[in-house]
Amino acid sequence: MSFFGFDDKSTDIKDTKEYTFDDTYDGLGQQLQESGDDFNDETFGSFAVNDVGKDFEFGLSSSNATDVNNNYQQKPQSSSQAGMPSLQPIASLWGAADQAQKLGTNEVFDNNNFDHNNYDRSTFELNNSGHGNYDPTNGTGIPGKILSLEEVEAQLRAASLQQPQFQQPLLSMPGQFPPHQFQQFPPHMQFPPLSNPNEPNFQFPPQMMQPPFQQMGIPPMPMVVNQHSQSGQSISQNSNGPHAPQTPYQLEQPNRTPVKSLEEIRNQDLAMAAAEQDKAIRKSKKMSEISKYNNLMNHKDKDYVMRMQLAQFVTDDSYNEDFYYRVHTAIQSRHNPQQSQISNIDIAQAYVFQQRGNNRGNRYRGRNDSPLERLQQQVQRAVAYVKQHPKKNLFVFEGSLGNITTTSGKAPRQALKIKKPSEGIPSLTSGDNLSDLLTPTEKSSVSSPAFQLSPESNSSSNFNPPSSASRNIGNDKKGPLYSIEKVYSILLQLENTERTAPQSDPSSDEFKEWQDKMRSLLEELWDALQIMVPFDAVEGPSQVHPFIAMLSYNKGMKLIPRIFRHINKEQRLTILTMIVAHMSSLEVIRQGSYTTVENNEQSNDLPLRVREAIELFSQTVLPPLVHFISDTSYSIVVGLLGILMDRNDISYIATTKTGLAFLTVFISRAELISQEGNVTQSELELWNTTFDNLFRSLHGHLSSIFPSSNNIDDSYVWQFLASVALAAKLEHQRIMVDEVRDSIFGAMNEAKLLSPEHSHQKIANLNLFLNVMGLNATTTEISELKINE
Amino acid sequence: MLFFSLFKTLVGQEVTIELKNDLSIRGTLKSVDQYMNLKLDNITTLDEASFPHLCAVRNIFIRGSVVRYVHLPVNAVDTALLEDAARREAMTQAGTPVK
Repeated sequence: MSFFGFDDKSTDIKDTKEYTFDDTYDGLGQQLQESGDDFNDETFGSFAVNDVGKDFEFGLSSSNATDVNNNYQQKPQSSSQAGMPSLQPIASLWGAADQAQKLGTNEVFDNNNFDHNNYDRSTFELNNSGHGNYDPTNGTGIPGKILSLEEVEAQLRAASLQQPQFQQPLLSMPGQFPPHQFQQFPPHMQFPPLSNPNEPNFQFPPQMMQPPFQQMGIPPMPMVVNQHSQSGQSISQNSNGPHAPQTPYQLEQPNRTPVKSLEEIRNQDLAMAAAEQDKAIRKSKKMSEISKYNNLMNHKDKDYVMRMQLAQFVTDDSYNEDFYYRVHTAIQSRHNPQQSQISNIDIAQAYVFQQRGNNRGNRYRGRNDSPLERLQQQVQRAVAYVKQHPKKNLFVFEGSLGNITTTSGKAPRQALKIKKPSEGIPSLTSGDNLSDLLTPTEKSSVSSPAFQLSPESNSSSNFNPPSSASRNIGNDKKGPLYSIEKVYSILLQLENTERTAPQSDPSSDEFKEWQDKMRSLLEELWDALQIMVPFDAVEGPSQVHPFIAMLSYNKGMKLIPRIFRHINKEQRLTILTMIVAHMSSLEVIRQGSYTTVENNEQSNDLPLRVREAIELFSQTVLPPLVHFISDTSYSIVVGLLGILMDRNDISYIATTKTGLAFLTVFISRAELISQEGNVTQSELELWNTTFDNLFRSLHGHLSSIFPSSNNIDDSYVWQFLASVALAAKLEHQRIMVDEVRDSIFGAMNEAKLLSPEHSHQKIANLNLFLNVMGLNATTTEISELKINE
Repeated sequence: MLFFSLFKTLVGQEVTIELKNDLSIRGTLKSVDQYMNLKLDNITTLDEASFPHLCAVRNIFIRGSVVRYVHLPVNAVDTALLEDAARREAMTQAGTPVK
């Protein structure tokens, strides 16, 4: 009964006992022309039902029934009752989704009504749990619990035996109502239709009639006939009534689990369900609040919005406009191979994946193609559209006082507009004296940071004012930075070209064209490195070769490994030679010596900036060089060492970490090759001479190559000493030990004070050197290696 | 649109958003758009004593224009790549895009 939307909170059961249906019925139904309503639900959908107000007060008559039917509490109670409320939110979801989709199936409408009516009914159930004189299962449209005709009949018979006084109502409208549904009405409710057989439903407002009808399906015709024969009453008008033609749906008989009919169980169920129901009610209330905004946008609107949004993202040049995302994703997917490879329209995909998560995946339900494919097509259309209709950035309507500026996602309105130098000051070059060219107002703007941004931010592509070598090498402090950026821009072009290598056959024109492009870019790159600039042009007290100057900056160091990938062996050797020859000009050497730190009493270590630079140098520049050296020939190694000694002050270079690293690599490599024995006598002699020279340069300075503080990791020093000792003759070794004796014992004493693991590390470093000479050190003594073994 | 490209890769990462009203919110980045509107999930306010009403809020939408700073997770940003992307953008703006 509660299906019909009565609110029994508003009724006082005791007061209403004496009321009869006829007293309370407002007669509205009689004013209605009810004929032809039979297919309203199909014609108008569930809305026809929903639109009808629920203000019809039915609680009075039902409470009447409550009292009359107290013996009805024994009625079979469905175990699905407890489960019912939990269905409500789902049902309302269905309702919302289905409304949006405007699907015209009966099932959808059933669900819709199911939702609304369940809501009311559950209210009823809560408040009437004491009475329990209703059977909610009658209202359930839950599929899958269909009773066979025989079962239904058996139940009917059982019910009619139990409650003979309900035979009349049961039979009065068999065409429309399942028997149990009907039994709940007091007898007098059912008679009016019989008195006016031409309008069988007139006494029921529409919202009463339709919901149970839709919820339950219609009892099949055979059953109707059976009932007739049972009761022996003629109700032919009703059986041929408006709903009779819908027999195809009638097989969906409301489910009823087999009879349990125990009040305790029922009450227990009710109590358990009460809390859940309460929750569900609140939830479904909320849902209906939300769902009133359903259908505000139809599918076309959504598509349009999505297309507009996508058009903001879409680009046919994603490598320029979305470079970071593309490459980052590619790197990530390389690290996690299980991730799918990015496709051409990965932006759209990324976007779609987000969207799909949001719309619970039901937007495209029931369509054949995947949402992704559809969106990709949509994106392609959007791209085509955007290409065909380039966006105007400024609209000026005739007669209007202002302009309408349209900004796009790619070019949002700029909060800060920076004048390009070409606009403001024609032919401004870095060498020109700015103040001469500028008006007073412009002069003041020069000092503003925004203006100063302009050369870098706007003319980044042609940041080669120092295009000629002489300018570059001049006093311009920005020269190296310009040079570095120029190299980077060429490098980016080069890498992009490399990425777009044609797949076609190497003999094809396309491939040759590509090769030519690569070659010219490589030449450009080599020129931009300015490595071939003659050093004579750079002579001067504090002048540095332009290539070496580039290595003074972090981003310049980071160039080296990337360049090494592209250049050939001769070019690599050129770079290495250049670095070796100008080593003392390198920033990491110039500032990296601990000898300069020793005067500083506050901190024994190098400044943080320098330490970081040294670290970066050994991480970026050194590895490709060391790799090259380890592949190169004996004569080149010896030659490079010779150049290093000729052009630099070895005793100073040896006091720096970077310099020692170079020396270590050269000496170890040369010594390794000479031990392999594949060297000619003359080469070996050259090596010995070179090494003697080197040792002479180092002689007397070996104690100064250690870092200024004991806290600094000095393992690289011991490595160097080990490589020297390896190549050195016995008398050399003796000199070395003499010179570094203090350090050796210092290290041993220090190790005593340290924790075991640090101590062990310290001794291990020391032994790198000592073991070469057949010695071994512990924290307490130095012994010959063989004895310890 | 460099920042958009960057933020797209940060989806799913933990970020701290500092707003112009000095409110700092930490949460998982769920999505970002070209206006730097942000959606965060599982948010916490860094100064919960001052903003107790935000204790119960789990997810939040932040309009891009009210963002002052975004603290990025260091490990999730590839700075070398970011430098290159910035160079590319500068080249494109200067009319000589990488092709």
